[in-house]
Amino acid sequence: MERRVVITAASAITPIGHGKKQITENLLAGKSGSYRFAKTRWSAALSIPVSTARWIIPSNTTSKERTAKQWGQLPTTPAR
Amino acid sequence: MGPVAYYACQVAKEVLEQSGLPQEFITSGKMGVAFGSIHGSPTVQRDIYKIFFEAKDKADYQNIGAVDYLKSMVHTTAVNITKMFGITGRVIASGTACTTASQSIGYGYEAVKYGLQDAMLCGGADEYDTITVAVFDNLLACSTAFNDQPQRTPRPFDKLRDGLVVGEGGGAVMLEDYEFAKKRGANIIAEVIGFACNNNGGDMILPNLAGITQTLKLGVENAKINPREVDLVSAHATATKMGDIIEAQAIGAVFGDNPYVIGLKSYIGHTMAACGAIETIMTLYMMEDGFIAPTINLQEIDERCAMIKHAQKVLSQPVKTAAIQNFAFGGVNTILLIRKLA
Repeated sequence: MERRVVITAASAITPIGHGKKQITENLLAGKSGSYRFAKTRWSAALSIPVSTARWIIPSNTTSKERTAKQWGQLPTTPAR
Repeated sequence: MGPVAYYACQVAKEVLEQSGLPQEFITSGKMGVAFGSIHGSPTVQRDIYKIFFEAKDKADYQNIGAVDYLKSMVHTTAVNITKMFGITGRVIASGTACTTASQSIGYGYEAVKYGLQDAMLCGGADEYDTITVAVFDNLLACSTAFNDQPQRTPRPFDKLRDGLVVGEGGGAVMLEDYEFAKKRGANIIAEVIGFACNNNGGDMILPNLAGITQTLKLGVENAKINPREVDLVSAHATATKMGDIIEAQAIGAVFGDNPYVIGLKSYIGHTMAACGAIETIMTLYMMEDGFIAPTINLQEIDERCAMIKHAQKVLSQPVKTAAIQNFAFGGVNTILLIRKLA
């Protein structure tokens, strides 16, 4: 038995945006997500290239705050 | 949960909401998850090693959290999704580096196609880690010539390209049996019409023209279409010196100069285990809205990549059939073919 398979939903978090609106706008604007990565103790120690693309996080937040801010809306218990 | 699983769970949550699938179905066992990352959470792995290497005596090893393994294991994204949303169907957790997400979508497609599951939540995620950059840099694969102007790199198919840029992110899609989706009145974005995966059977790192050409041929065969029907190719195009040439040659050999070819990594860098999903989703957006996003930073086409039709500016035109290509270390190659429903 072979069935046809369709896509009924799609979502992404990317270096040029989260969700369809932001991503499409930035694709149309030709925006690059690459930026100069702040020197961390890791990059300084390894003297590696600092041109990386990543989802941009406000630099004044700590990693714990980042988690709380960005993922606070997630359900904390299984949605059974 | 490590950062990589947050990305995965967030996109999974959005896709579940968007799909409108009822809760009874999600937990029924008729829906599974195909999701992966390159190696779980490197941030958490670093914490584990730190305790290990800085231990003064045996007692210090007790500080290694038992739960840290759950955060750093290779199927952490897939099982965190199942736990968070109560999904009880199949679990497929590919861990094939840069083809992880395209394999997830491909194997999810096969699971639905052959009636093993009625729906599959598929995708991939990866978090940025400096070790990833160091590894690629040591392989001479990282872009280093534009460190002062990062927006000018990566440059797929361009004469001045000098390597990839490491990125991060996550992407997920919901795959469903067409009849089931139609019956419940779901919004159908596109149809997955084909998938192929093979191995070069040779070098771990070097791109392989025969292997990649074969992948593309197998994909077209699986989709039961004529290669001329493909009007957009989302190339893997990492912007490495050799990789782009080999890929352009393979596209030229199978699809000719008919489809527009784009390298979406020019926008987002190489999002590793997420790239297959993110690039598929971007292609879906182009299909929905009727445009082609060009390869940015492609100013002067390398003559060795010039046998294919590159998109260098935004094009307003419908996309009916698209191919998404990804290749990974270890010689693993994938192609996904998607089509807009008439």
